[in-house]
Amino acid sequence: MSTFRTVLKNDFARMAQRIGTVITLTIVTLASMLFSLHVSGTQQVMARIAYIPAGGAQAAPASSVELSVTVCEQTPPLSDLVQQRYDAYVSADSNGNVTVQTLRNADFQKMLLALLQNPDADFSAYRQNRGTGVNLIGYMMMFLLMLAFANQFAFANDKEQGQLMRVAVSPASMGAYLAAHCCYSLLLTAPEFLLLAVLKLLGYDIGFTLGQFLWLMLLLDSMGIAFALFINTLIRKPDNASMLGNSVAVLTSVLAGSFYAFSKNNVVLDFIVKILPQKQLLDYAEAVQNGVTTGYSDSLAYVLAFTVVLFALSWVFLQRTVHSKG
Amino acid sequence: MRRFLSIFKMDLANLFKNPVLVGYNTVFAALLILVMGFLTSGSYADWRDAYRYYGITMLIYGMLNGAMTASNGFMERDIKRPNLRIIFSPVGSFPLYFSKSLSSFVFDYTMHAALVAVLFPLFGISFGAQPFFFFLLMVPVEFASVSLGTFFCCVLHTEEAASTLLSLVVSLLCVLGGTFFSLDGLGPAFALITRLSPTKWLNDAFFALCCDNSLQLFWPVFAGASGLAVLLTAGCRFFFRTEDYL
Repeated sequence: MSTFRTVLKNDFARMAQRIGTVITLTIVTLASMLFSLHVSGTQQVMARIAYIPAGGAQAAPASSVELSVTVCEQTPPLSDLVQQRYDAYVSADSNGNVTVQTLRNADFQKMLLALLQNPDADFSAYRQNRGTGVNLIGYMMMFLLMLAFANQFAFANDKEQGQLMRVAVSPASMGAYLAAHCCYSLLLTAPEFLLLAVLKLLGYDIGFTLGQFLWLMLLLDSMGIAFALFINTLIRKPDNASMLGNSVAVLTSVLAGSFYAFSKNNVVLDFIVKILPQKQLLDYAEAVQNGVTTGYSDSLAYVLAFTVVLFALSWVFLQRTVHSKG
Repeated sequence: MRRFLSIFKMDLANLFKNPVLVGYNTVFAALLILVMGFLTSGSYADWRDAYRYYGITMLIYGMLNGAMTASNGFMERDIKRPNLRIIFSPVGSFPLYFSKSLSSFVFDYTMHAALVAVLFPLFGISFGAQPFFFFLLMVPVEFASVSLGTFFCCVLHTEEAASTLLSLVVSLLCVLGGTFFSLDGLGPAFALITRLSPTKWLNDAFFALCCDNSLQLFWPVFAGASGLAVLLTAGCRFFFRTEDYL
């Protein structure tokens, strides 16, 4: 117990030299959470088009909540279409024939033609809405994983500089030493939880109860910490480890659909996405949000197993390193 | 000049021998393009259009992240101490930081040019009517971003602080500039913010080159980035203090 307390205190003392990183990452995480609330809260138009009258006498279609129309004298360049400034260019000749130029898929073209006929048509079925709570967890995911990685700096430095050998041969308990680092990492996610609490108090709809958020964040963080420990035990230099860890965290989180949910209808690729623990965590969060947890215990079990296996592997590798050199 | 060259050669070798930097600028950059392109390709009629968007925006993201190459090559723990010895030699301080900028530039430009030369033809992404201008426009952009990295190091004196601040600034500019997803769909407020990000101007210039064969934005961006690079290098001279190394 005294090892635990000493190491934890020492971690906080060493935070001073890293304070810039910690504050920066925390601010970015909080900003991303607020951004996710904004995105969940505002309704976006289904299509933004540029209308080119081209000398025709026809009146431009009206903008509505689903359709935003900009009238242009000349067809805007193709680059505006590629950059998604507009979803489509619509022009009409004097006979009233409408031509649509777009890069989007056939579903979109069908929907756009229907919208041009009737700007107030109801297309709410087309929207994929996964709820405020799951959105919040998704937008936090990548940053919390990076934060968990950054907060293992003490362990990584101890390992690189050989302090770990000294811990191993001292009467201090290795388990308590690692537990203290993990606990430190968990404590540093307090600002994110506080933000959620404040939002809840201010009456915002955040999708989950605070208890549910605490549980989901705990799952996510444990996963991040286990991953950080694992990579750091495998790779000697902390700089290289954190660069690799962050790259993997960014790629897999995006692929798991933390920012948008994708469905690809491709067996192999769907399988790859499915084995990502982040995807399983999001599925579990969605189940919690919908109140059906029975069928989704697999997802939860997967996330827990992933975390436990990484912890166990790190422990084994660590013992081997320490004893082979000591 | 001979003195400068020997420092430059050493710096360049250091960068190319760093597996993380090489991997980050090639494999990771390519994976980002593939993953983002793959994820969004479903909403396009032609899947290659998704790769066209992310091929160009992620290239710009990579070029701006070149600032981190410079800060890593300048202030990494193993490099910082040898730098101290150069300061005491009769070479002077200018070759010290300018060689970091120049070597990072050569390294990044080689990596990114190779990356697009392989990926773009693979996905049928066009360089525009004159590929020469595409590669020419990359030069001042790369140079401005490595100068930014060196400049931050001169001002902040440590790699940790410089890298953290740089990655925040670059990521923020890129998110606001529409690198990862276009902000135009999020309402008029975001559409205005995105116009203000320099990343957006870069995107506009490169997309105009590739899609419209238009050189309209080429010279303003070329001149602006070159001017910025010169200003930042001059700024290094102003902020670089030998005492910081003692």
